[in-house]
Amino acid sequence: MKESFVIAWNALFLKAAPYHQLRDSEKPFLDGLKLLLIIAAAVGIARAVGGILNWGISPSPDDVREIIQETIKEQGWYAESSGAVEDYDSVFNEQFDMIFTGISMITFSTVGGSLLNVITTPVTALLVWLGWGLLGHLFARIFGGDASFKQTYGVTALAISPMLINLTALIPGVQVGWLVFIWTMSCRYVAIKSGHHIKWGRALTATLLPYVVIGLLMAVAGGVGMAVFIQGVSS
Amino acid sequence: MNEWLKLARDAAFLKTDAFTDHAEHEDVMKRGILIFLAIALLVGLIPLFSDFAGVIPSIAAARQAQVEAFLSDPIGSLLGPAAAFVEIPPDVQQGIIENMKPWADTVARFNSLLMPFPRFIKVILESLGDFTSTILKGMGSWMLYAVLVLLFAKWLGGKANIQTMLGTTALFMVPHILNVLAFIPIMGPLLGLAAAIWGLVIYVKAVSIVNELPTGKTILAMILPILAGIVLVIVLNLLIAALSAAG
Repeated sequence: MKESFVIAWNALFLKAAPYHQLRDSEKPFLDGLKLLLIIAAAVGIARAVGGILNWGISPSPDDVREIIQETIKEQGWYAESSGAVEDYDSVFNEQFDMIFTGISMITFSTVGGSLLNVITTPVTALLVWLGWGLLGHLFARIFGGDASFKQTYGVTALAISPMLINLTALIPGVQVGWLVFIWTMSCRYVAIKSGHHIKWGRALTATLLPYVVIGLLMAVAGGVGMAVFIQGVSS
Repeated sequence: MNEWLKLARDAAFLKTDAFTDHAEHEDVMKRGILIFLAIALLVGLIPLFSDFAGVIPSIAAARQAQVEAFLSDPIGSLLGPAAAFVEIPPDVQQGIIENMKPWADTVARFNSLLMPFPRFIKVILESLGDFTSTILKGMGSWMLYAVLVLLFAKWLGGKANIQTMLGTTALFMVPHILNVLAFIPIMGPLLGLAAAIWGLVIYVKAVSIVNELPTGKTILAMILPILAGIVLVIVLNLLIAALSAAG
């Protein structure tokens, strides 16, 4: 355990040595997987504790819903619309409930939902690692890389080390901004460059292309989802 | 500790050896980031403790005061400095104020809602959260900008790698230690301005040394990411405008 944190700590500061070490280990895939799961589990626990703390310092969503709904109904425009349109109240209540429920699922923590982080964080990290590793390996090989599939997964597992910053999720409401994203991208660049022994320009391209592919896939999925949502609302 | 203080002092006085020795150090990025964090923590601790000092009595009152300040000038609060350039008819302004008034009571009602933990824990955790977020977001902005400057510097013939670039540009934070005095009226903001300019000079020096670029190319590498950002915003706005017009 301690050894995993030491290697992740050194990888965090973009030193080539830990990436070489993992690339040349006997079982790079398994070593990477172990490291990834340890870090993701630690972050998952931090998120769970932070979520429970957030629940403890938040009022009940039902109380908040009631206050907001009453405030809206006290406004002049609501009275005018309510008087002019038949069934305005019931339609408003239905739509308000739908919107508020959607927002409160993101905004308000629950103890059960927080504890789920212990499982969802490692699973998500694992899926991202497997997906990104696959694309990163393909592009690195296209650009002349020499690492095996297992070695790519080993070194890209180290690139998860900036996720350690998410341990700050212990404190409710902490926002990390760009930091984890840009740091992870930097680690992936070093991982591809050190793991595949390619020049910086090729390593950079091989690092950025998986983001482009994933971004395009997400845009398409988002577009389809939005179209389905709009169709559902309009019908 | 002495080594770190010497590095910070020499970087502040723009000694070339300090930058080159630091760039060649095995732990260049770790040292840079720890200096960044140490200064950010020092600067942030005073406002954090002042938040804690006012923990219990003032939070609800402070929120109520914010709401009342908003209601007294909703247009100015919403638009900020841009309010000076926007002319809103008095009847529209009055309408906005009338619609906002019920929300003042709402904030008071929110503040009186019960929650599982005592309210002072909420205030302490929120202050800690704001404090941590400010530092992490600041680090994120610095890192993103440094990576973009590195790309443009490479394009202009720079020789740095990502580790040395991040490690040395982090030294721009050193003069920002002056921001611990930010609470002093008039003097505080002036010191903050001096720290920002001083930090910028250190940044130029750091980029120039690790990339082995002349000052002109260094400044160009630092300006290009900003220009690229502006162009991107303009293009996106034009695109949205075109799509809106088409729709």
